[in-house]
Parts: sequence; structure tokens; C-alpha cells
Amino acid sequence: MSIRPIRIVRATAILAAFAGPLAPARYAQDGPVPVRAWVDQQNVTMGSPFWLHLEATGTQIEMPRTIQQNGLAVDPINIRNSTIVAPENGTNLRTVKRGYYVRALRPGPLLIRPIEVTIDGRLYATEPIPLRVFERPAGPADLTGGDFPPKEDLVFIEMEVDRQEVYQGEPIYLRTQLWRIADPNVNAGPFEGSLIEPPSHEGFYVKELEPRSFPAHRGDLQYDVWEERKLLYPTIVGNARIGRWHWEGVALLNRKNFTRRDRLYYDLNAGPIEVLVKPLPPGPPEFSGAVGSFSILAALGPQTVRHGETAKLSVTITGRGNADAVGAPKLPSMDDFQVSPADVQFGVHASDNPVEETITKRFTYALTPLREGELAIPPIRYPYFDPEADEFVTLTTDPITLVALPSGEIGRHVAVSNDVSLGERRIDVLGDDIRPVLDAPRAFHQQTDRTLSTAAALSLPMIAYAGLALLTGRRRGKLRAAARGEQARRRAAERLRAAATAPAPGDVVYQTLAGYLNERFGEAHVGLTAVDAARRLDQLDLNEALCRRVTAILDACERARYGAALIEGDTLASLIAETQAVLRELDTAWGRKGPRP
Amino acid sequence: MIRAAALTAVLAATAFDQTFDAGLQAYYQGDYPAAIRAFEQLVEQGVVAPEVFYNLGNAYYRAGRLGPAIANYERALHLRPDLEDARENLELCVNETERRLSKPRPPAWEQALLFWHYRLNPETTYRLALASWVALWLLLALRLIRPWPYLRPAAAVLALVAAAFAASAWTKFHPTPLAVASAPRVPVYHGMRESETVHFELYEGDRVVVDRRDEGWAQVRTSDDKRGWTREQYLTFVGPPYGPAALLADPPTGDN
Repeated sequence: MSIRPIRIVRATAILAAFAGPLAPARYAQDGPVPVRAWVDQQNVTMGSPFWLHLEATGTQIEMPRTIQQNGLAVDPINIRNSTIVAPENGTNLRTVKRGYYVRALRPGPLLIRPIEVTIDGRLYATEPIPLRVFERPAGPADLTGGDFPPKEDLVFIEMEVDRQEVYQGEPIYLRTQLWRIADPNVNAGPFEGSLIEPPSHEGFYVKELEPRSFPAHRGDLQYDVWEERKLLYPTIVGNARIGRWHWEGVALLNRKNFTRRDRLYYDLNAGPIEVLVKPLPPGPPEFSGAVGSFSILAALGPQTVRHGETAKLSVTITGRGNADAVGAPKLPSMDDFQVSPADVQFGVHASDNPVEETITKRFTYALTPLREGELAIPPIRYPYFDPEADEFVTLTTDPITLVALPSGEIGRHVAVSNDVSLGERRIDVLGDDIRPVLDAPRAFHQQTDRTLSTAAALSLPMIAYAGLALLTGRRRGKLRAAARGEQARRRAAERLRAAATAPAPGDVVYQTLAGYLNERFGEAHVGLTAVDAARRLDQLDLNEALCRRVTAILDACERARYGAALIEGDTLASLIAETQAVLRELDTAWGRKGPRP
Repeated sequence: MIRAAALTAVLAATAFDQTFDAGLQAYYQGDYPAAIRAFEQLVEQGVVAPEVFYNLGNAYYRAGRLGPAIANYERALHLRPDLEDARENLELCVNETERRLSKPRPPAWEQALLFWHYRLNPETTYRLALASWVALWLLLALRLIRPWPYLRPAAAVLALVAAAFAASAWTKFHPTPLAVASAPRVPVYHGMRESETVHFELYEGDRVVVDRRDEGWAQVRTSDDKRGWTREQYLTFVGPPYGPAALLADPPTGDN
């Protein structure tokens, strides 16, 4: 009795469910597991690629670079990574998602084992994933079912070169193209990964160019073309081979009635291409490897410098050919100069065909004259091989003269101090070179920490202001107290003078003393009783006997006022006299400053 | 007598001046590494002078180190915005960079409020802030003694002036942290690990804002608002504080 695959898958899933809790104890098991894995399809065809996703959340996450498992082939290049960072409780919590492009290698049930991920120093493992792998079916003749063009017209590849017979060093333009029908219901891929084997090119130096995509027609059909481009520079002589280009991929077809989605598998090859590489004839000693068609230009800026300063000699090679192999010209012997290594600038005037592109390479040397006078820069020779003329061509620049002016003391005269006017400075400008160094006034010092001095500078004015405000406030308070005392004395004297003849002299004496006290206290002139006065006076730094005398006068006046007792004659005179004495003593005690607690 | 005067002058020169002279001499003789060492020594010893940074920029430029050259011109211009030589050299250096990426601009609020202060150097704004602060309190003190009516609005105006100069000085001494890529190609990752995907690349001389620094990594932002993490060792930080230039090292290619 044979076991049907679906049952095996179920059994595997059940085993996997049990195997989870029985996972080795080395995995962290407390709390929710912050890692998971899943596939985009659990029923897969052998050899057809699918995505295995792994997702983990934490602050420090270490995921496996690839996955090793029997029965699975993981593409080492096609790996998708994405990271989402979200702040949580003061830390940046990252959710990292990685997709592996996987193919199953054998039919039948397959279990993707737990994948280990280290999160924040702890080891976690994903749940195992059961798969069901089917053998690839042998398709009918017309796999497209009539809704689309034939399979071979849906997707195909091409590989071509612009020439098959070249000189050594002469570039070959290699293009590998994937043609995909321009139909939104057809989706073909991938464009890179282990399913694609780029052509081998032993014996060539390779310069990768940017891949590009463009629309194109072939017959009545419209295509989207994905093109990868390379420039191949032969480094060997004789027969060279550009290897086979292999593309293996999938085209997904969405049927027009939306009933199903079909997959077409492609296993396509193009090439190889044979190339004959001819040797270069023996060249002049200055030959640096340039093959093509070039021109040369030498320029010096400035042509007059002071002894010790530098001038820039630029040698520009322009033309078409093996741009990467265009080397620096071999400069003739220049004993009068110190010559710096070449600074290389590279420019390209783009063309659709990179072989036809015009390139510019500028080699810039800093020349420092070692003596004064008119110093000659000899002609610079630059040979290159012209494949169209089948011969070497040598370019030569004109001789250039550099005038090195004397400089009495190196550095001093060319240097510019801050005191020198701008007009004088201009003398030292070196064409499009940088401005000369500055000879600063000699007053360098170490920068000190200014925190304290700044704090002092900020706080001192405030402290001074506060002190001044305190002083002026006290002075104003004193003045105010003195004024109150003076006014109180004056009013009390006036009232006491009127008391002797007043109809109710007790009231007048009472108002005189109470009014005096109120004014000295700086309070409103309202009913101050003897009890109130005694309480207030007790709080002050005042002679106790004097306090009692004040309250005695007020008591006497209150008795006269509320007890209908008359105060007259000697009693009145002695009361007035006592009041005058008390007022004098209070004045003496309080002075100009007024009552103090 | 002339000799005695010269000897006196030489003896009076400080060690800093001698180091500066040594740097200049090395520069004029084309020994740019020696000039760099001399000027860097001054910076390391705490000398903060636009002339030193400017000359250091020139020496780095001559030595073919575009990134540190740009960083030092930026420092010189920060300390002396009217140093036209530094401005021109900086422009020349930026033109020689791969992408001629523009300098990230300061925050919008700073541009709106402090549009007037970009030609002032930090020392000037600092002194003006202190002077206006002291003047404000003097005015308030005068008001205590002589409470003339127009002193109140005058004090209010002076308070605003002091606040403006204080804000200017603060931003001058705490500028937006800037760094310059100092290796030919500097990969910038999505996260703080080299196993992360490379988000984009900086070329030598590209200026970036440093939003954060953590464990040898710097979170950077370009003028076109691309963000990511890169190794601090490939950047020269403009400062303040003024540190040394990034060591010349080959960064990883960024291939995962």
C-alpha cells in the first residue's frame, strides 16, 4: 500500500506541531517567540523557485546569511532585506524581514527545519514548515493555451557582440538581452540569481556597464528588453571565447477569464561567441596601453610662479577607445622640477554605444620649480595604437616654458598676512588653483573653556542689579518711614492743641494717639482700640513701661468715651501732658525709621 | 641691534607660532604630509583659528584628500564667514567632488529667525550678546535710580536684541553637526551594521548632517534628505569640537 503525498504532508505537519514544544532547551522559550518563517506557497514544483520569508523583531538581530538544508537550494544572491525601526520604551525596536529565493530539489514531502535567529543575545528558532514538492509536469505543445503567442515568442534571450575580430586591448561591446513580451498578463523573471549564468569571459578585462531596459519590436510583437552590457578588453592573443549565457526562469500567465494562473518554465541558452584577438605590433617605449583614436593637449597654469610655489601641468587625452586602459603619459625627465604624482580626472561624453563614447582623461601634475629662471617643460609624447590604421600613432605636445621668479625667503614673500590688501593678494592666485595659504598674525592661543566666564558675565549684571534694587528699596523705605513719622508728629501736635478746648477732649486725645500709632504703622486710620494697640506694641521692640503708658491713655479715653465720664480740668491737662510725653518718647524710640519688630 | 631684536622676536614666539611656521615651511616646500601634521598638531592642542583650518584645508587639498580639505574650509568659514579665500577654495573643492552635492541647510526656523547672522563670526555674536545683556541690566539699574518713562520701552527693545544675539551665539557655538565623507566611496547602510543593506553611497567630499552618533556609527542625512548609518571612521566631523581628519581607509564595498 502506497502512502499518498498529501497524507505524508499532514503527518509531517502533525509531527512538526509536536516537535515545536519539544524543541531543544537551548532556545529561549519564555514569552512570545519574536521570530517566524513562512513560504509563499506550500505546494511547489521541483526546480521552480519560491520565496521563504523570515521575520524577527528586536534591537539586535542576527539572521543566517543563507540556509543549508538537504533538498533545498537557496539562491545566495537573490536575498531580500527590509528593516522597519519603531521607537518603543526609549529603544529602537527593529523588525527585520529577509526573503530567500529557494528551489526544491527532490519531489515528495519536505520539511523546512527550524531556522535559528539570535535576537538580543538569545537564540530563537522558527516553527518547521512542511512542503509538498511535485515533479515538473511534461507540458502540452501549446502551453499558452491560445490566449498568448507561442511560448518561444513570449520570452527569449539573445547575446551579441559588436565585433569578433579585434586587436589586443581593443574593446568589444557585449550585450545580453532578455526579451519579454509586453503584456500586463505575462510576468517573467528573475533578472538575477543563481538561475542565471552570465557568460564566462576568460582572457578579457571586463568593465560592467549599467544595465538598462527599453521597449522593442520583433515582428508584430512588442517586447520589454532587459539588457546587461559589458565592455570586454582582450588580454590574451589568439582565439578567445565568450561563454554561454544561460537563463532559467518563469513566466506567469494570467488567463483572460481570470480562472487560473499558469507558469511556464524556461531553460534558455545563448552563445557561446568566438573572438579572434590579434596581437599588437611592437610599440614605442612610451606606449601605455591606449588603443583607439586619441588627441592630446598640455596646459600649464600659471606660467609664472615664485620659486617654491607650484604650477599645475595638465595633460588631457581625448578620444575613443579603451578608456580604462588609457594610462598616464610617461613624462620626460624634468630635473628642474619636483613633480607630484598625477591626479586623474575622467570624463565621458555619452553615446548609445559605449565603444563610440568620447572619453577625456586629464592627468594633472603639480610642478614645483627647484630653481629660478625660465624652465622648459619638454614635449610630452603619447603613443597609442590605431586599429583602423593598423599602426601606432605618437602624439606630441608643444614645449612649455615656466618662469620661476626669485623669492628671497621662501614662504615669507608668497605668504599673505591679514594686513595685506586684497589687491596684493591677487598676485598669488594660481589660475583655477586654490588660493595660497595664510600667514596669520602670530597670536595663537589655546581656546579655553568659557562656561564659567560666560556664567559669570550673565549672572553678575543680575546680581548687581539685585543689590542696587535692594539698596534703593531700603533707602526708599527709610524715606517713607521718616515721612510717615514727620506727618504723624505734626498731626498729633495739631490735635493735641485742639484737645483742651474741644467739647469731647477724651475723643480728641484718643484720636491723637490712635492716629499717631496708625500713621507710624502705615495703616488706615480706623478704630484702634487699647487692646489692639497693646497687641501691636507688644510685637515691637519697645520699652514695656512705655507700652503700658500708651494703653493706659487709650483706656482712659475709652472709659471717658463709652462710660460717659468727663475729663476736664487737671485730669485733662495731665492726660494731654502725658500724651505729649508718650508721643515724644515714641518718637525718640522709633526715630526716622519707624516701628521695627 | 637688528640681530638682537630678531632674537628677541624669535624667543618671544610661542610654541604654537613655531608649529604654525613649521607647517607653512613644509607647505611651501611641497611636503604636504608634514604641513598637515603641523597644523593638525595645533588643532589637537586646542588652537582654534580660521587661518590654521584654512591652511590645513590647503595642505589636505594638495595631498589629494578632498574630504578633510572641505571639512577644514568649512571650519574656517564657520569661524570667519568673511574669509573669501576659504569660500573660493571650498567652492573649488566641491566642484571637484563626484556629485557636487550641496551643503545641507540649517533648520528652517534658524534660517527664518537668524537670517541676519550668517555673515557674523561666532566671537562677534558672543560679544554682542554679552554686551547687550550687560546694557539691558544697566538700563534696568538706571531705571531704579531715575524712573524716566522712556526707559521701559528701551529696556524691552534691548531685551529683544540681547535674546536675538544670544540665540545667534548659541547656534554659532552649537551648529548643526556637519561631517564630510573622507574616503572615495562611503557606504551608508539602513542600520548600524555592515550586514545591513547599503542604502546609498557617499563620495569623498560629500557633506552630510550628523543626526546621531552611536558606538562608532553615525546616522547621516544628505542635502537631498537621504538618511542612513555609516562608520564614523570614514567621516571627518566639522565640529566644534574640532577633531582630526578621518584616517584614509578603504571602506567595504557594501556588497552583502
